[in-house]
Amino acid sequence: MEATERANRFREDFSKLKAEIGKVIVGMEEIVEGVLTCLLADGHALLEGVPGLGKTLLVRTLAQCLDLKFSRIQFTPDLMPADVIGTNIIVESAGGREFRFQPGPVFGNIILADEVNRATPKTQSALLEAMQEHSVTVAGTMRKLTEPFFVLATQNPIEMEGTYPLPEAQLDRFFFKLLVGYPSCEQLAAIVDRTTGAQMAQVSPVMDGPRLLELRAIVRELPIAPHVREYALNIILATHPGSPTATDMTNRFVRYGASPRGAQALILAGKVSALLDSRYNVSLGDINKIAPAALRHRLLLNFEGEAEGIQGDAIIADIIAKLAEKTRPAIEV
Amino acid sequence: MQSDASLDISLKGIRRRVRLLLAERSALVGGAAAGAFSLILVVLDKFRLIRFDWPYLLALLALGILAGWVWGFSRKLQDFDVARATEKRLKLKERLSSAISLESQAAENDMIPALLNDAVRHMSNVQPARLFPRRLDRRGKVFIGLLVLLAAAFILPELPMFQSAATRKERAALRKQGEELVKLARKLEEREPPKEIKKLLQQIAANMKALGKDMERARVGRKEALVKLNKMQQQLEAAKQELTKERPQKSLAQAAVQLKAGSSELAKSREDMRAKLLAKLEASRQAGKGTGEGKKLSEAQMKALEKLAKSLENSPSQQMLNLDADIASVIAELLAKGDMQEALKILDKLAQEMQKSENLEKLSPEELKQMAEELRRLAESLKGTDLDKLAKELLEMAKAMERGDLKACKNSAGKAGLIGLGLNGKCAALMGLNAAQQGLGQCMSSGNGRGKGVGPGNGLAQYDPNAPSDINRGAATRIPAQHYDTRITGQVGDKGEAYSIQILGEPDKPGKAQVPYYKVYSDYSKIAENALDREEVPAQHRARVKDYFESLKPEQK
Repeated sequence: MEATERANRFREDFSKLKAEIGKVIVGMEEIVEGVLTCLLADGHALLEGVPGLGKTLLVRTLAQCLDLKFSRIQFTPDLMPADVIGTNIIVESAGGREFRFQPGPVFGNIILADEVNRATPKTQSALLEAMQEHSVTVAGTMRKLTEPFFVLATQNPIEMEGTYPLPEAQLDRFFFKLLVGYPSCEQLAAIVDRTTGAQMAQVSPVMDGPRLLELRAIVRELPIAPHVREYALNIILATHPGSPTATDMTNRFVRYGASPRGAQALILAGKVSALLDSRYNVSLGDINKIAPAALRHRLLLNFEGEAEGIQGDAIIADIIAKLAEKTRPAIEV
Repeated sequence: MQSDASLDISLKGIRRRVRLLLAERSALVGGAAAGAFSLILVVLDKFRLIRFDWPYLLALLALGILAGWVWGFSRKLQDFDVARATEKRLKLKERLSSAISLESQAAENDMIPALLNDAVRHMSNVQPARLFPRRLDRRGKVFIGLLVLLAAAFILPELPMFQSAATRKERAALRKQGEELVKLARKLEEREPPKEIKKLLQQIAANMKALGKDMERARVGRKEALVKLNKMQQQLEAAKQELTKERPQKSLAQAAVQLKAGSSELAKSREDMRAKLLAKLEASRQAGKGTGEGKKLSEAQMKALEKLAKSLENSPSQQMLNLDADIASVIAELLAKGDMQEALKILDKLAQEMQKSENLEKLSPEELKQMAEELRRLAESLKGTDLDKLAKELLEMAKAMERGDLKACKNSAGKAGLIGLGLNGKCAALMGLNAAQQGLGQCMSSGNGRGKGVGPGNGLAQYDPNAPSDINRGAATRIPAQHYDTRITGQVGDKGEAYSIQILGEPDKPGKAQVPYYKVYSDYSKIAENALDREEVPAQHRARVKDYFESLKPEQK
């Protein structure tokens, strides 16, 4: 298939999927787009928002639209790793007793890890290993997870007492961190209308797993020009205090900046954004648009930053503003 | 690939446009730099620390603009940079720059050809001139601002409203004098000087012109102008002395007197001869009638005598040159008036006519003899004057004519013509120098309406640098008087100075005051010296003032 045709089909499928999700989910366009971007870039998303905003519904709807197996894991403090990844159980068979592996909920395609910060670090790491490796190891046996494998984790920004916030190293494994805001009055009205009426909106599958994998391949095919790539890398380097491109805010408030995973996230998400904009190249605007979602959870603030209540988004915005001056054309006429 | 070629074509026009605009921007920067530098020079010029006229200003600005333009035009232009500038204007979101960066990898990834086609499609119908219009940016505004400042720095100080009344008056006077000086310099340049002083004259004329222009533009003050004018006067004196270094033994006026006398003698002798001939003719007629006692002449003899008598009515030179009188009296009159140039013209005409064979051959022996006598008288009169060399050739002509050697006569006439030419040029140059001196004298005066100054004569022989000045001074007379002393206080002068003079004695007669001569002399001598020091006396008259007081100095008893 020609590149143009592939790109066009990509956009059509994306639009279809988004539209189908839109039948159930009211508003949250950015969140939906973010989630789909993560999905197409083969990354995982972390949603942070107060309860009742439709995070679980979004993931479930997504799974339905994709005709993929959906698993929901409600993380609690007493959740064990085996509850996530599965365990060997003794079963009685004709030949006697034997150990049989009972897969855990992580063996789905679309996983909702609800309130992931409520589980213990041990349980969290079990999931995070699965996210990274796309496989689990149980009793010394490695078992591959089914592709496509997509985890959408949620965090509650309130009621943080008694929780286990994900360490930064673990947070780094999430492609995007999306902040779910409260719906507007109109959106709230629409939510209420849709969910309290006689008829509930239904979605139907618009895409399957193999097609999703094809779309992921198309994303990776899109080229990126050297100067755009350099721009993305400069943003990453600017998040590190003491680097030549670090800004004053970085030097003052950041203890440690984004890892190379952040650069991967910028570029892959940039490619998705370019394809959706009917382009065959990643632009600086694409990078700027997705930078906050891709990097906000990867910046480790120092004491002063935390004491001052500095948000990662502010630092990223400052970096983008400073770098914009350097990316002006060499010729000014 | 086709898309590569199309992209290149799309960029070509934009590249040209960008290069042109960069050249223009750089020209403005160059012009601004030159303008800033020029502004400093203009300020220094206004304080008279350097000389920086408007042609230099224009040249510097032009140089700055040209240098900037060349630098901007020759600047290396990368396609990538052009693409970045273009896509920023068109909001192409790095399509163009990505296409240029990745086009070499088109074979490896089929998304890249799609990218190239997409870029080309977006570049179609792009008009470079509309995409990059000319606009007045910060550089242009700075350049215009500097031009305005330059114009202000140049023009404003020259405007009368920014000058005091005294400055305006002085500048107006200087400007007028400067214009006259420039005219004088041009007149001096128009003359064809002898080669001995040609270079000096050209230098003087150039200096006069330069000073005149400086005075017109108020680049020099009054004192400085006077000093320079004085120097030029000295140069003119030197030029005149160079021209007249051979002092004649006799003046042309004296030669004129001699010529007049000689002409009268010749005319009388001609008249006597004519009278004799007429008497002879009459006697012959009477003899023919049988009434007289004279000898009867033949018809041919009578005709010859009649012809001769007729030819003696006027001198040969008068007939040859078609003059009102014989050449000697014409020349005498001209020299007496001091019109040396006209006299030389007539002598030159004589020399030319004498070179024509038909003129000499048609003269009868008697006429030749007359002509030779005229030439001899002319030569003797002009001998020892500034026309001495010419006189020698006239004498040679006379001698040749007396012995009948017309060829030698013509040769001498040729030489005489050349000498006259040289003398004419010398004379013209000296006239020019005198006129220039007069003009400089006027410029150096205070300009209070004295009218034309009196200068030395414009004849070669009349000028004598060692001759005592004879202007406004009569013969000295001694007045015997013995009276009592009285003090009289003078009026307060313009500068608030007052002089009081002690007068020894009362006025002797009503309406007349007499003061001790020796007392007055010392006071006035002092006043005169002060006036000379303060430059209140024009430079050309200083020597005369000093001379005057020297001549009044009391005798030492």
